[in-house]
Amino acid sequence: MQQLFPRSIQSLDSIFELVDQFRIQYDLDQKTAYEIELAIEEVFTNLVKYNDGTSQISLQIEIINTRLTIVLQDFDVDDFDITRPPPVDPQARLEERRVGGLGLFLVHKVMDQVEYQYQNRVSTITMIKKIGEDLCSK
Amino acid sequence: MDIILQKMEEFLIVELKGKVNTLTSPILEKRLLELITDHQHNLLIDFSQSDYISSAGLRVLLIALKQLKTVHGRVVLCGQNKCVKEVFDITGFSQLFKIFPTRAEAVKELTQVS
Repeated sequence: MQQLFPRSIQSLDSIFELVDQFRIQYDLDQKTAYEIELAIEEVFTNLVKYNDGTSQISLQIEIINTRLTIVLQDFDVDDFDITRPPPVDPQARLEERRVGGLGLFLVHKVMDQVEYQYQNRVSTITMIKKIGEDLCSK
Repeated sequence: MDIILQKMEEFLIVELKGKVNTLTSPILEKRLLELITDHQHNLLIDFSQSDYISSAGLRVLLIALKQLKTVHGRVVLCGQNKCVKEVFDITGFSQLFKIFPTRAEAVKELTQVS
């Protein structure tokens, strides 16, 4: 499924509804559904925060065999790779922790592959995850 | 997300109902900081009615923890489901917070040590 969303944090409500429809359609387990929602929330929020375009943001989710693919596209924006997270040390003590910066770290942890492409002023973030069984056979 | 407060003799229970995400975490941040300002320095945050947290929620919890440390307060968490717990484990937040499976165990911790 693919849909365009206004460049606003408030779009997350509609995005979560879409993810929920997707979860039901593919009978996804709780963990997979959580990870999809988390990855999309973190990337979408970063696109809204750090890109200054005015176009809507495209979200596409699909499962082919055991491969889940999530694609977010941001149009008419500058080249800025939001998929490279600042380093995070999970062992760091409280005093060493800075507030924030965990979103993209989490995305890399819950997805198998996170790619950034920039062409013709379009920023494309593709996230891939192998899921347990061939859900399309259900 | 709804936040339900329950005042106990030695601490305050903050029960979260719903997702703690980019949309809802500002509400939680405001509420927790108000409580800390209001001298509620021993908090039990119960996740049993909340099945989702993103980095926005973690950020708020870290702010609260840092604030509470400066006033020698404490925050204890409980009731996380497997997915929420995994997010805490991945980010190392499980090491920063005292986390208990049930509210009863968290209450025991707060009443025994305080």
